[in-house]
Amino acid sequence: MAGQSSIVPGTLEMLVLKTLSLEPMHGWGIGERIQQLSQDVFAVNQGTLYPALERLQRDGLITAEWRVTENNRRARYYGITRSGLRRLETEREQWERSVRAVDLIMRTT
Amino acid sequence: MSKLTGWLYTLRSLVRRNAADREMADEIAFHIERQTRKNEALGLSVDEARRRALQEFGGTTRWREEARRARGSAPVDLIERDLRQAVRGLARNPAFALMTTLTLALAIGANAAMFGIVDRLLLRGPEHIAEPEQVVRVYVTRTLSNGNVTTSGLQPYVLYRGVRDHTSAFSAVATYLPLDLRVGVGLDARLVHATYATPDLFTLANVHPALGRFYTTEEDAPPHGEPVVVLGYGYWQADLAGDSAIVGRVVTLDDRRFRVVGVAPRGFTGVERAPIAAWLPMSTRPVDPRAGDWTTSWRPATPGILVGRLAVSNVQAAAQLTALVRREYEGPDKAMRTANVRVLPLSYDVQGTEPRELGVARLLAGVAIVMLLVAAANMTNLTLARALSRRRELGVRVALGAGRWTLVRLMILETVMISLLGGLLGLALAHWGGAVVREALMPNVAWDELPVNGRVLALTVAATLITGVVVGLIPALRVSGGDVALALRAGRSDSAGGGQSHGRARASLQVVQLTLSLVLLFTAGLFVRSLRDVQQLDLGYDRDRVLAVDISFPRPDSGATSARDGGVMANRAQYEDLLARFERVPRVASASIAFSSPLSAVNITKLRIPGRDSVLSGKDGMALLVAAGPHYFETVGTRILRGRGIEISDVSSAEPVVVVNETMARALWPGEDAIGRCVVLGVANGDACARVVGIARDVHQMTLKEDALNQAYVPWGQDRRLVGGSVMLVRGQSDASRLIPALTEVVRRSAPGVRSLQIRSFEELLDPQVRPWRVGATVFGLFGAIVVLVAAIGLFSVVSYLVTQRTHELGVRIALGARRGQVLRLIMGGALRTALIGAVLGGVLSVAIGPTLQPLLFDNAARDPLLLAGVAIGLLAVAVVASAWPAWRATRVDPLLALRSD
Repeated sequence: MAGQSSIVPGTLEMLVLKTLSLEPMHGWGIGERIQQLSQDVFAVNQGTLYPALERLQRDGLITAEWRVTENNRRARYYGITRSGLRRLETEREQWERSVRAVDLIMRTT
Repeated sequence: MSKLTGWLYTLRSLVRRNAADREMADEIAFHIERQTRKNEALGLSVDEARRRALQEFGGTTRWREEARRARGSAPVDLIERDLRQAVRGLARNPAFALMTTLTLALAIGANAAMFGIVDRLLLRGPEHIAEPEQVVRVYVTRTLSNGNVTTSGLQPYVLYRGVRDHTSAFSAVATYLPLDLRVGVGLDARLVHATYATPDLFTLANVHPALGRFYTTEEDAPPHGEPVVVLGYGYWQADLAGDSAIVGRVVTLDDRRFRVVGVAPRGFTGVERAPIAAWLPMSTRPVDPRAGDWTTSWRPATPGILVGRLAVSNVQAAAQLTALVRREYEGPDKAMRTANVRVLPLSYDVQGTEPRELGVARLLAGVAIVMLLVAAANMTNLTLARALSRRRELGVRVALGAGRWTLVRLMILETVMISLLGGLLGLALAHWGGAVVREALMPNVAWDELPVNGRVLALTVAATLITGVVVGLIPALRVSGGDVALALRAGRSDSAGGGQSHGRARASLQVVQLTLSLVLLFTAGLFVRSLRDVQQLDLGYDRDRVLAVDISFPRPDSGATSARDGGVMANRAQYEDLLARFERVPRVASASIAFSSPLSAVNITKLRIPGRDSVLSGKDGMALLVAAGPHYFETVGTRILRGRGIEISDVSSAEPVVVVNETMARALWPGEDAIGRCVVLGVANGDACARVVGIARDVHQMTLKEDALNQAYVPWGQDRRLVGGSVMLVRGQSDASRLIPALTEVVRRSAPGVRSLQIRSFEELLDPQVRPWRVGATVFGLFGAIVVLVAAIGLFSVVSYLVTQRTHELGVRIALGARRGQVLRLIMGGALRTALIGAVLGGVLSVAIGPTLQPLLFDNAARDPLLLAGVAIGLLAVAVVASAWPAWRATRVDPLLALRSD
């Protein structure tokens, strides 16, 4: 899988929140969706997802419930909470600011 | 908010930890399954797809752990693991765990119990009194013309008023007087504690009534206050069922009617300690109008205790009050012009001294701390020995990657667990034992409901944790500090590496234990001897054979023409009737009656000798006067040395006679025979001269320690002033207290109309004075026994440990031909040296603390070489026994086994 790289450090939780803001999803699905949305640029280190999901739950940004998948398998689905959405918004602004800043620096000749 | 939800989340996942773990496992399994399917879709074989999936996940265990940590429950998991390990460690050596737990429980229990008592008595002050250290009583100290210094805590009302109105020493000042009042009637009547107090006592305490109101200054206006009463909460609850409609009703106390205006707050005892049933205005005290105006007299018949809340320093307050007394005093007592006023904390009694019970309580608290130190030293020692024998195990743990901190944590966890267990047990002991000790030491104190309250609990938890950590830390640091590789390489029986310094630490801890044991035993011995001396003290009468029957008859009808005389005569007939009936009760040896007999009252009369020029001065001019009925002396057991006692023929129409004691005979007629002499008792001119017909032994009138005074016994039948309030005395053939039910029955049948009846043995009347020594002897003995037991067990375990450690060496020695005696000496020598050093140090310490103990002892010296030697020998004997058993085992070491064992 050439061309794939790990996600930018420190952005995993933001990406999870973004994914969940689209629709509730189970753990494996979140990883897949991130990879898919990044057009296969990012490969999520799958194990890291679960500690991150626990942290987000603990902070009350997402909730979890067991549901049955389309294939009739039980899976834990995560959904974003209202404070999760607010957090996503601030993270996004911060991200954009830093991207612009990095961009500015890099363009300087 | 996120912090709170975070905590809640962590908490929830802790509670349902297993469920959360299972869910996580399910979730990861699902993940792997999906990934496997995805890989299969890419064309891999089933096995390969699954392998790849697992690889991509990157270690399910690791991430499961990480996720758990993210949930926040990881530290708890770690603790749980450590705990499990510690429990396993302790379970491997149950004797160690049991022993240390028990000794610690005893020590912690003693501390908790004694802290509860000392806290209530010394640290917190009476309930409801804020800043008790600012509240003081006022004492006047006078130097008499003969050089004696007397201190009194009873002050006239005029001084109270002067202090209140003319000084700025106190922000609030009050005067009060505790007394016993009779409630109920007849055989059911009983005495309750009550207090006459000015209403500013409530102001001083800053309390609010539980019901109604307190009485006002107007209601307490001298000379005659309104008959109103504020009931004590406990009395209101117990005797009046907490009736909330009580305010406005009338209650009868001591045959007087008082209107209830309110109920004092729960637990309020004023500045004293005893529960109070009723608060009465100071100016409702019955006063004898002939004694003059009690509000202006400097020597009234009814003084009070003066208490104030300091507004200035205690030195300034004392100075202001001293000036006031010297300036304002009016009267003949010159000593008052140079009197000094002192203000002393509430823990001092009316005589201006600290009650002995308090000294004993404080000492016991100190001893409890010593006990804890001994128990902790013992536990440290055992833990150290145990840790050394575990060096190999610990070395293996380090080699397997355990950090030093992990080892230390593990060892501390073990000792903390033991101490927590000990603390728990100790609290149970304190709950039970504390109640016993405080009732035994001071039954008349309004104690907290539970011996173990919040403060006691806090102290116990703190003491427990500190003990656990400190005890674990010392051995843990010592053991984990060594070279691990060395410990691993060395054989099981190694003790060479650092053994020397460990041995020294052990020995010094043991010396400390033995030293303290000896001091404790010695103190216990002193108290036991004090108790024995007190019990054997010859008071001049028998204390175990005599009952005092305190009875009061209804007042005669006020309609009678000469009520006073008629009443006395009526009472006399009733007394005599009952006496005759008492004498017929089986197992009664004799019965008599007396006015102000020993332990009931003090009645002092002046005396003079007709025809003698010199006026009798001081003590010689006064005598304790007892009016005694026939058979009085044989009933109480006071010997007549010469002449005769009081007889039936000594009636009012017969010649006035008197029996004097040895001291009086010696003082008034030195070198002569007192029999047949004549003495006038009383001061009135009309008083006739009484002829001395007998000389009796000196007796102690009220206390165990008192100087011999003149004592004069007049016939009860001859002086009609000395009848009302008489006490009947009954002598039993054996233990007198068994006669009480029979005597009560006699009264019930033949005099059903009595106002009150109280039958107590002399023993019981003396008990409050004997109590401090009895409690001291009992508790010190108990503490001493515990500490010696702890020390003995400690010695035993350490010697046993040493034997185990040196099995190899001993085997070699025995193989080389060492005799049994030599081995015994080798093992026991060290232990006995330790014991000897401990005994010597303990002896020195015992002598050093002598002056501290002296005031708590009864007359005997705190330096008692014989007792000290006895205790030291006893302790050495215990040391020999404790070390002999393991040492004997050492001589049985089989050289072959010992040599092969490694």
